[in-house]
Amino acid sequence: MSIDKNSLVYEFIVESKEFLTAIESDFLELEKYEDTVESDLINRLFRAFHTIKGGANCIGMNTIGKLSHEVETMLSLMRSGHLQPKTDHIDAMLDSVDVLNTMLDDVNNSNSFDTSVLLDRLKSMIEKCKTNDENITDPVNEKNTDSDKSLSLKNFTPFTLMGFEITDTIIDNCPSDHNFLYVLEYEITDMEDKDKISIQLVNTGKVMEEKISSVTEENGLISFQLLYSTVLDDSLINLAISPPPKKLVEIKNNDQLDKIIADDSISTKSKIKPLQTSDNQIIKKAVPGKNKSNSDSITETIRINVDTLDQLMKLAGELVLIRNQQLLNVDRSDPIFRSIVQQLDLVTTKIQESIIRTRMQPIGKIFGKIPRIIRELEKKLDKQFEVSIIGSDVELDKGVLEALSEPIPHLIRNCCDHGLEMPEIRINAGKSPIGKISIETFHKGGQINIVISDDGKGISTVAIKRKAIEKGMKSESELNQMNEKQLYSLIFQPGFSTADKISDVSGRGVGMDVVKNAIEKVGGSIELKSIQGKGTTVHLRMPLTLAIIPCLIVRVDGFRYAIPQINLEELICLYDDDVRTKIECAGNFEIYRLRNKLLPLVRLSEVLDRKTPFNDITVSEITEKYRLEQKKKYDEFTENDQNKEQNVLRQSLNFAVVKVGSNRFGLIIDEIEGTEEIVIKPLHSSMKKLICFSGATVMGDGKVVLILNIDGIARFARIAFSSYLKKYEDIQKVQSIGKLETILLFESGKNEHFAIPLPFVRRIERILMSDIDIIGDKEYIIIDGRSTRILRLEQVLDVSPCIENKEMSVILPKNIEPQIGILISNVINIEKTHINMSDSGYIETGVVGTSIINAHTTLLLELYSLIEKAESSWFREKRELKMTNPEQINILLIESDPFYKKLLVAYLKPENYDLTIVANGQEALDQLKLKKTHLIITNIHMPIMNGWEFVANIRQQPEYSKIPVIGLDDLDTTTIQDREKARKLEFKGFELKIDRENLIKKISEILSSTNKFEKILNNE
Amino acid sequence: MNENITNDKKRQFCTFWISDRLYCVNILEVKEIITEIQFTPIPHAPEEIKGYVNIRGEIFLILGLSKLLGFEEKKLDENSKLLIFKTSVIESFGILVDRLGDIAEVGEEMIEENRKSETGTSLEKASSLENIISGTCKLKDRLMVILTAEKLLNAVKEKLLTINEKGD
Repeated sequence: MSIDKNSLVYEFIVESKEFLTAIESDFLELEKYEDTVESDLINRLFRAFHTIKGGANCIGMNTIGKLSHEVETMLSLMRSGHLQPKTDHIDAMLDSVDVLNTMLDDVNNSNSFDTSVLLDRLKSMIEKCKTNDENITDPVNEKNTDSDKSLSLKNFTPFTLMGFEITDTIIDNCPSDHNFLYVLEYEITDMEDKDKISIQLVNTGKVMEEKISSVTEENGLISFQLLYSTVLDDSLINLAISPPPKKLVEIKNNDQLDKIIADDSISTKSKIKPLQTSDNQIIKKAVPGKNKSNSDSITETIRINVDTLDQLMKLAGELVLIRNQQLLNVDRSDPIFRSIVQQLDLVTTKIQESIIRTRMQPIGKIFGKIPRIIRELEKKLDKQFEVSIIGSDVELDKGVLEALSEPIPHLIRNCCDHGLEMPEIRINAGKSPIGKISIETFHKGGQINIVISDDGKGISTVAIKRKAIEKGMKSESELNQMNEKQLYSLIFQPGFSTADKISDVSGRGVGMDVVKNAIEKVGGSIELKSIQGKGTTVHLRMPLTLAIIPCLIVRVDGFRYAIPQINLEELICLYDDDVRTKIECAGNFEIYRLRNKLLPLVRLSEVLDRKTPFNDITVSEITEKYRLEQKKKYDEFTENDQNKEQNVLRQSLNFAVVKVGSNRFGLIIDEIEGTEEIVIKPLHSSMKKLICFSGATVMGDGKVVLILNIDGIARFARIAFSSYLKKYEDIQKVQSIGKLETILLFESGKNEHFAIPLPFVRRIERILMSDIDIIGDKEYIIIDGRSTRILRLEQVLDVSPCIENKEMSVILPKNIEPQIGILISNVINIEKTHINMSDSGYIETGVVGTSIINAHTTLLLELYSLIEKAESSWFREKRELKMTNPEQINILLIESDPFYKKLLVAYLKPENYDLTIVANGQEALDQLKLKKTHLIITNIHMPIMNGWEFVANIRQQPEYSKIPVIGLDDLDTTTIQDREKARKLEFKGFELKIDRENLIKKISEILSSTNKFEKILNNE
Repeated sequence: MNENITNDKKRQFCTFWISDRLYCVNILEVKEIITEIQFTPIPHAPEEIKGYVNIRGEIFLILGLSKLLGFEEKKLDENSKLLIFKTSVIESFGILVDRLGDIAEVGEEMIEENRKSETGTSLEKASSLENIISGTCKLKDRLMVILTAEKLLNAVKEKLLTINEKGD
């Protein structure tokens, strides 16, 4: 036994755990049918605890043994009809199951586990039952009180078995904790190991008698027989004693015998029937090697080491590869050979499938926990539930199953706590008082679908909206634009809970995001739907297996790499001129504008080429390298006359938009090969430090392909997600302090830091100082084939002169004609920041204000005034239309954002209109009452009352309805719907905030065309 | 070579040639010799690493021994072989050798273990060739250098470490 102690302990743990999982639902069943307890059920429970007790005692886990013994005693009382199973009892027993599970998780320390409280609880219940029963004279009771064992060997009628005379004396000599009495039979030849056997026997029990049998009838061999009393049950004997006995006959005790008889015939409650014939007592047990069947309902299973399975899996993979090679080389013209190969193909596929299935386990394993959870919640919440589970036999990979083991109970708890109402409320709503939860699992679209739905009150979108505003996650106007699906997806945001009260069941606002993360981690997805008053449905979609993942195979520098599909968002291909023009530079990174959001680009070939992680220098080197390459290509193209007819340079650029968490970037690759399901193999442990790869796989052609780790690549390439991709994510997030502004930070002279809002910048161009031409006192350079005026900031502002290098950058602003470039020495960064302007700071025309950004006082520039300062003639002619007396024109400007407020004032000040500025629609309404207003310019996105609401409001009021309105929007995000809305509300114009020229033109147009305007001039 | 040995205690080595020098590993460490060579290079790995190869569905990391030992790397030809170590000895690992030699059976007394490796800091270990060598064996006509899979892989790990340090 000592040799095999470890394997015995392991065997014990596995078996006990299986028992404990299996019986949990039996307990609940027991409770349901309190009055009409099926003897089968109790027997099953009894057997489980009995086995655990036997095993535990055998390997010295006394604490486990004691606890299971008490439970067993209680069950035996129930079985004998002395104890009615009540909720209290079942509670105590379920708690015991929990404690046993805990102890089994850490068997080595199980003996020091304190179970005294639970033991006392069980004991007192048992005692109570016994004292109650004392009045009734019942022979069984006597038996139970004089023995601490349920399976007593006492009260035998003497009989003879296999030549042993079993008498009271023998029984009395059995040690009191021994539950089993066996006759063991060995072949005489086995007795060479007699010493070994007898040591083992003495270790685990007591040999009562021994003899050498006469020649047995069947085979004519002489055998050696032992009468043996022990704590072990038959299966354990076979494990504990080696070689195992040839034959094992158990001498059955009264109780079980009693039961056999009761089952067989009479329904009388008489509990004791003396043994009549020896035939009834003997149940031949399986000879060693055969498993005993422990439950009738469980199909035959065999326990296999996971390593063995993995090995099989590997071999199957190997077989598939050989098959693939075979398929490539086969001579298809030979019919016999072809059919053999086809067979091979078929069989191999089947082998692979079945082996993959060995790792699969039924999802019922998780669902097994649910009845227990429901039972506890029913008590805690004082509600009633009914659960229906469909498809417990759907199988999932072990890994996926493990990932689901937390989220599913969580979702069930959510259903019970938030979803389903109190019984009274349900009755009032015309529903059955019992809340229904249904869990359905099925295969669909190559995925496992799990649908958990309840018929509760549902989740109202109004509540979600309210909560989102409360938590400051979204603004009202944003929420109004979201569809139902998007609203429900908010529930999965961290810190979101719609429950009004926090309970200890759920509602702390953590959870759904954790659920979502856990599911997405293994490549699944979660979706929530709800109909108010009707119920909520959560739909999970899980992959079948983790070992095989779908990947996109790409090619870079002649080698293939796999990008896991989980990381992949979309593929983009740029053609011809787009390759040159659509890739811009921001900071020192290459970026692409994907649907108005900035996407940093990473060139995979450069990542793979460089052994050390990128730093600022390498990043700008790369950006520069490709810019020059592109420029060279283009120059060669334009120089070559033959190309003239062709019009455009033929080229293309592929990149995959990949995501890391909520961040995205573009990964530039050479070629896309297609998608493939691949088997992941881990990297060699010495190569684990290479963060860019997460594993390798063998392709169909036998070549090894590395799997890219997108997160690692992002870190390797030092992508500054914080500065770019925040913009990408929450471009419209409005915060109370003012809006997050994406600004370009740069230096010109040695002292000052400057900033320009990024939307004003068309692009940044690198130039060589030697390329600058000087005409008069002005500098020009040719960019995109156009002569561009170079503006130095020191020419228009009182700042330190620009530091000159061989190479410089110029900022090309948007919406300004003719082209002008601002010379700068260095781009610091692109930052997303709140601009908190201080008025007390530096004030000069062209400077909107100062703000502290990254601990530097930074000058925020207003480009139009700056350029006007330098080239006053450019704008003058456009102002010819200027009003004669603009002071009399009252313009109401509605703008909430402090930065744009300043900006718009700077635009309009020179026009000398009488300008009134308010922060929102409500204030504007008040203002309208105070002063006659000729024109309203309003921002659309504002807190409290947004632009749409405000205009809709004034259109209702006759005295204001005729006032012309110009709408303003931040960026080119205006949709067709917005335009349509604007038209309906009779907006006179819809302009971009950043385009001063158009805005001013529009204002004067409107004012000059209105009759009202003329009237003003005439009358006042 | 066998006839030279008289001692009872004999050890067998699998010998191979790198830049016309004779090296060997304990034959008990060797799983198999592979002739068909198709590497998948691993970017960012030390240059001594040739890459991954697939051997019947299993992936092995291959070390280019000449580079590690400080020799000029020979072009792959029909003599180039992959020597794959047993997975029970070391995690799926193999070496690229220029040419395979015989099986050498030598007596214990002819082997001189290299004991220097026990001292010195890790950086010294990586830089010093001596620490890759487990021992030497004087044959009749030449010297045979004994290598072990474990020391070779350790050398690779050290190289990777130094790259990373440089990077940061």
